[in-house]
Amino acid sequence: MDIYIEFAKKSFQRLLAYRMSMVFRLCGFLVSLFVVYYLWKAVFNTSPTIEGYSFKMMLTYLVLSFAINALYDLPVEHALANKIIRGEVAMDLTKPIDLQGIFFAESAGTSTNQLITYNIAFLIITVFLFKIKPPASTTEFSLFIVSLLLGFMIMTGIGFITGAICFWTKDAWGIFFVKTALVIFFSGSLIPLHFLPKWLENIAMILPFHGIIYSPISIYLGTISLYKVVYLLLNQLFWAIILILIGRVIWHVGIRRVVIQGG
Amino acid sequence: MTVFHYPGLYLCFISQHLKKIFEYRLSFFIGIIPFILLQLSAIVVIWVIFKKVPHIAGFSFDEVLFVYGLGIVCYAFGRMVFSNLNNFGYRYIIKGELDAILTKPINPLFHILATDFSEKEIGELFVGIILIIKSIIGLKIHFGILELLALLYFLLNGIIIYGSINLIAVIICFWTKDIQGLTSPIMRIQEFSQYPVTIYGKAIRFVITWIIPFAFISFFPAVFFIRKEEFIGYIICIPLIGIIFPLIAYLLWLKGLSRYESSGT
Repeated sequence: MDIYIEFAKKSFQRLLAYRMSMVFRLCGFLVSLFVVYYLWKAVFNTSPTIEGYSFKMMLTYLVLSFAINALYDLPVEHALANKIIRGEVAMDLTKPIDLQGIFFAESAGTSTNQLITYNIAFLIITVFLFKIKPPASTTEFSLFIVSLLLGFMIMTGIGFITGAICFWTKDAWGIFFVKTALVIFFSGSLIPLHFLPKWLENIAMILPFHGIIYSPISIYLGTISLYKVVYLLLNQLFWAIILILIGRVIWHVGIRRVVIQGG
Repeated sequence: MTVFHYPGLYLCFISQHLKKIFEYRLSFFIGIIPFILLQLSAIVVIWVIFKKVPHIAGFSFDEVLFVYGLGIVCYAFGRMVFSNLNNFGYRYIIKGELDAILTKPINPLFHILATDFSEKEIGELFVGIILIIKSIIGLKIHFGILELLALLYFLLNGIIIYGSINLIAVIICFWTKDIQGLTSPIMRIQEFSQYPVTIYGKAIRFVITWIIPFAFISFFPAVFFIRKEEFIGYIICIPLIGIIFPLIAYLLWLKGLSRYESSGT
């Protein structure tokens, strides 16, 4: 276990070097946030509540969505993909460590870094600017944290799979970007999923992505029944396990290709 | 070498790049898909909004789509043509490729623009064109040869304004010595002009109209077709901005070049 903690620490430290680019990224995020702020303000001007949401709840949803997404914009996947494409992964295979475990550890390290250096600044600014709602209660807040952690497992599980796909494709950039686009839409990053037409909402709820954004924020806002909360958490847990298993399978099949090619 | 040689020269540069694309066809297709998906996601959000409310800030669904579509076409095309500008700080200043370019008998800005070309936005471009056609039909805008010419002129004008803003955002690094950390936040302000500017407060409207004139790229041209009379004053300014802003950008570029000291590498 110590090894994995060490990897998480290293990955945390590596990011500290890029503080200035973080400030600029923060500015970029704020621009996007202002755009959606005014867009939804105009919408709620016409109709004060939509699908059970007030403007303030919508704003809280979007701010949290930006904040959670910012946790995941991470270089760990690119590092994995590059290792695979350049064949360096062969070296790692000789070591007595589990590469999926390392991947999760490194992702945890970078996410923690993002949380401390970037998300806290982002949340302070946005709470001040937009006066978002506090969590419905302490129970809801604790469950929100649990849901967020499960969301992390899902996101990282998907990240590992897309990384491992690079055993077959030699082009990481395109695959990652396709994944990002799918995650953004089906996680509910842009719009709460129950705003969508029923058929599209159903598709989104069948896919694993809603566990990354929509589930934790719905729990935070306290708009859903306890029964639904438990269902969402179990659903997240289910997907986290499934995605990790799928990742392992793809990884083991992929490794054989490296051996065949001679690394 | 006269100005008349430049179009041929540009084609020559671009054809080299096209060969690369044809060599990696699968990468090309995988590369354009996510851009299309992201645009579709944004359009679904607009569509969902208009299932809940009939209009926002005085604009109907088709009107918002028209503004959005015109925006996509200008920005996607702008990013395709001006993509190499965003390598300027790293490639031309730090790595010193600008030295080599300054020794050549062609305009250095032209050389930089012609060197690269981004093909990934081509899918977005089609999404934008489809949106424009869809909304023109939906709005029952009379569309004859004159309107077509006006539309083409506005698109060209918008792309030129986009390129000028991008150029200014990039050449700031002649002064700040910082490698374009500022470029991306400046260009990101473009997001404000995707939707009708009537949804924003006065301050933001002022910035995107008169400081960084993103609103002149697609929004004011769009309201010309939608015939919103309250914007008539701005519509008259479109050609002026399209001439003055590129001039300012080019003068700044020349001033920046005269400040340039090679890194010596």
